[in-house]
Amino acid sequence: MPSEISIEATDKTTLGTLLLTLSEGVFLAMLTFAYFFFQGQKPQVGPTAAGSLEPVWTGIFSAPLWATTYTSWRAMLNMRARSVDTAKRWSWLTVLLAFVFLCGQGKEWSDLADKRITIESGLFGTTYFMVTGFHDLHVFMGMVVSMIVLYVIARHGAGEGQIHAVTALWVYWTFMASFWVVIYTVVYLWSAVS
Amino acid sequence: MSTFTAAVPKPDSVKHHGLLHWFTTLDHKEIGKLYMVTSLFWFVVAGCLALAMRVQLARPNAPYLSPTTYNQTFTLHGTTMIFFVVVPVLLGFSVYFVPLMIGARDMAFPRLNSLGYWVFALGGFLLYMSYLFGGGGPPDAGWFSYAPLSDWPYSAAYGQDYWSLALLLNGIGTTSTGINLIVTIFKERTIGMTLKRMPMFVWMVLVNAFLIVISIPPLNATIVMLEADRRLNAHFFRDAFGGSPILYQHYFWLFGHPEVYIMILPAWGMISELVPVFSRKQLFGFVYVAAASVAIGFLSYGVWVHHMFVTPLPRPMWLIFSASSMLIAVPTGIKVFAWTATMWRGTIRLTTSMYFAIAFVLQFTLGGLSGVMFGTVPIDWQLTDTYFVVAHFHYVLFGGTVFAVLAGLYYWYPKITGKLLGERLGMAQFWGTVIGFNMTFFVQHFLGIYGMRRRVYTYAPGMPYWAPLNMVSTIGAFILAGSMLLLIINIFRSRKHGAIAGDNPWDGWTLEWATTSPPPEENFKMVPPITGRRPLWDYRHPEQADDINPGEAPILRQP
Amino acid sequence: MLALVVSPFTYHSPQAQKIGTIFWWVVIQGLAIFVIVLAWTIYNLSKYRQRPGQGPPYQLRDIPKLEYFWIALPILSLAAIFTYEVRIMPDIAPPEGYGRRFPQKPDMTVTGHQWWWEVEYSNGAKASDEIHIPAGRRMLVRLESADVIHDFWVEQLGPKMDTVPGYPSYIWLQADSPGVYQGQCSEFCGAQHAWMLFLVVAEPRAKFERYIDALAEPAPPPQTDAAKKGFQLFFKMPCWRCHAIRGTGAKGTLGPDLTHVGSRYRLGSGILYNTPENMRLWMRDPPAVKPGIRMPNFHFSPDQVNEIAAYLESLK
Repeated sequence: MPSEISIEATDKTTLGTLLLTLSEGVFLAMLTFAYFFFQGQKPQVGPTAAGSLEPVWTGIFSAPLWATTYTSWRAMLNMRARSVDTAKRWSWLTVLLAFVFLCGQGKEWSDLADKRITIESGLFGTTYFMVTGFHDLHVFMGMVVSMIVLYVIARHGAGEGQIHAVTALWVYWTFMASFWVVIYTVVYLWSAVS
Repeated sequence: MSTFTAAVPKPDSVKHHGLLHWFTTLDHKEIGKLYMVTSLFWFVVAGCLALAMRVQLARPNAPYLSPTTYNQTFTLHGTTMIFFVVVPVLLGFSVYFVPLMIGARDMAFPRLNSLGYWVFALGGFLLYMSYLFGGGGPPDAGWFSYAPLSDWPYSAAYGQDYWSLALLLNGIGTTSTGINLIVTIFKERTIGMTLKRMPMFVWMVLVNAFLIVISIPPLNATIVMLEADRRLNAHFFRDAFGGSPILYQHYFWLFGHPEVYIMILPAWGMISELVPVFSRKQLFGFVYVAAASVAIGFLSYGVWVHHMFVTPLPRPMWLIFSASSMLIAVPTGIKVFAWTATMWRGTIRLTTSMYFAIAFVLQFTLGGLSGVMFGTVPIDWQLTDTYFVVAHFHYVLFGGTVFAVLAGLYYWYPKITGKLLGERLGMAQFWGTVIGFNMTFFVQHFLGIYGMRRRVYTYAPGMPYWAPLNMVSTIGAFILAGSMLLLIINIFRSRKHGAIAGDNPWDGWTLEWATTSPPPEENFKMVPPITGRRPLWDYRHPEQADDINPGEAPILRQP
Repeated sequence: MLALVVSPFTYHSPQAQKIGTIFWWVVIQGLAIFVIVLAWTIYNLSKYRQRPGQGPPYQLRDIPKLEYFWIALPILSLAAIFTYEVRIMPDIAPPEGYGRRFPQKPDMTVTGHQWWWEVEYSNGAKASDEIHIPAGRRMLVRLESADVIHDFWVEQLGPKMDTVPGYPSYIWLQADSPGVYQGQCSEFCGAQHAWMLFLVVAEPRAKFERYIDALAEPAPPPQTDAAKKGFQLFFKMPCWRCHAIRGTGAKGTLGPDLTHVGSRYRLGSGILYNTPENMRLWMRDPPAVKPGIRMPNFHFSPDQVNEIAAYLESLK
């Protein structure tokens, strides 16, 4: 962890990424609120969340995404300690974990499509696919950026900029994982109790 | 400061010339100029659209524009002016002057700066491609494109999708620049410049950048939801499946209201810089003005429903937002009084720039007061969706922001180009603009009171006073357009015949005046000691220095 | 006959009266503030212009008492406006603008369409673009939309309210004395938003009752030869698919109800006065009169135009 948490101690890249996650967080929050708002309305036209979602199964596949908080943190620590190879391994693990999460999401989506639940089937379909879709898109973009940073480290070694980039990636993955906690609660857990 | 070691070339290490220079530059000053020139271009385009509208409305039942063409015209006029003129020109001034004012060499992320500009430029280009490829032509559902009108099937053609795409791109560019500005202000200030010693323009840009970062996402969310409805048959805004058109309005105005503050904050910053310089006196109540700006930043997220007072909502909701909308007038009032009190007991130098600033203060006050009227629900119920609201927002956006930008242009043009703009031509432009602007828009208050709705392509002959008032407004619009021609002539003439400006033609106090005009690529050879908010004033008038941390030793620093 | 004077100085209903009062109060307060700023600016410009050779002035930083004053003054005046606003709002609009669970039964339901207005009275009678109310009585109007968001507003009679599909809303419609008032759609709704007019005809109670009783009657059968031919044409062409004429087989809801169109003041949602020439002008080529509307040009022959017009005119 950084020795102090302040604007002075934070590097530019990480600060910029923090602001980006703030911005994207508002975007995802808007889509999540739309889900929340329409789910609360009764009666609903079309298929609903209750009975369509499997919170336990999704929870299992969410664990890898939540683990990326830890793995990207370890990558950051190792970069700061200049153990570049270890850092790279932790980073690749992060990418892999995110990929596993996305596979789980993909399976879930195809299962829903088999049940004829799509973006046009009703309000549940509409709001569900928008919020999970954009969240997953952001996870995918995180994977892509992680791989670009890994490439730069491979080409140019572990300079100041690369250390900042890995720190920024930790911020980003923490944000993605945290937001998934929100979505998991509002979408999956709520469907189990309603 | 490069963020990568070796191999990757440093920004601007390769010198290009001509057109390639403009496409590849990472210098914040060049990018700032790109923003300003592009905004001016779109200003002329959207201005011509406005003239077309005014010609159509000058007489009842005029035949010049068909209903659809008129609707496309006002949609493009609004969308262009807001997203491709006002916001970018303010970003251009911000991106140019913030690094200079804080003694930095460039923005925190020069490449991101360039990305922000080019994505915005692409967005503008795409919006007008809708003329060629939009199926039925450009979008025609208004600049806020309410669903269900903007949804399929009511706007089935691709024009609306071009609107969505152009604004998504513009949003990405604007958010990038917002992030860039915040990080620059927090991380790139020169030694001795604490947050408290930052110039007011930088404070306003900081608040503005936070507004951008937090309020553009709601627009992006609204647009993707709309496009999901339109092209993927989603149901966000379609009531048949339980969706809600009112949700569209909530989401849009959650963006839309902070957006109007995005369109005024840097303008307030400019006025807060040049009114003191031309009154030879520091800004009155600096701390209050800064605090008021931060307060407005927060409050702007609590007023959006005042755009929806005629939508069926629970009465308590109307009343809460009425109260918050009235409350937000208070910090704005602090600023107006601050600028006037700065002139009071000052030594006023009436340059063209100062004329524009004074007109700004008066016109913006009028616009703000008519805004308070819209915060009162029963009055809003009468006057919204009429020409009264059109008058209101043109008073704050044109009489306010555009006049402030003109004041800022006459003030900072010498710094950007090294030449002064002609004062005589400038004064001629000023009078033309003031007369033209007020003639065009003041009468629209009356048109609104007399019931003329907005967004109508024509009106019946028998309506009381509508025809003569519209004619006056149209004549005013042409006078206004003519005065803008004078501005363009002034800019072109000064390139050849303008007087050499020198480093500090106005005897200004902030750091941009401590370097050459135009500044060198690295901005400063030496940054003067930062002893207070006005380093150059302290330097020149040590006996009257407004040093807020007395006893601190100044350090001379090479950036 | 048409009282189209829209003056801010005369009010034709209690709702408009209340709005007018608060409007003037806020205008005067606003103008007072503007005059203060203007006067102070003029004073500054005359007294503090730079004289030749003049040095810099005293660098006054702040006068905190003045700051508190001009924070307190706007707050107080705005609080006064707000208090008054809260007090008068129950007199201007029904308790909840949002009416999913509104308890009272409305006196009439007005539905906005692109680009015409439909009104249905409590006795089931329907009309288009012309609303009759008894003068002096406050009518509760339920507002709905069939397509996009429109807005119902008669500027002489009171506030406006959006018609939102899926979200019925309620307003009060009241006129102090008999007269004809014009309203117009006040939320941009597409190509012919500008010509989505309607009339509110306020008349004495008895006359109003007779009107809606007559409105509920089915359409009179055609009498003249031309009208009879027009009646047949109405069903041979697709007219009956879009329009309704009670008492015949025509039950279309896409276009305005034509059951008693002959007695209306205007045609095409206010774009034409209802005269024989205008009726024929409309039937000849509707999109030429009102570009962008859904009713196409049927390319009637001049005789057919005459017959259809004769039939419709007979529907009084």
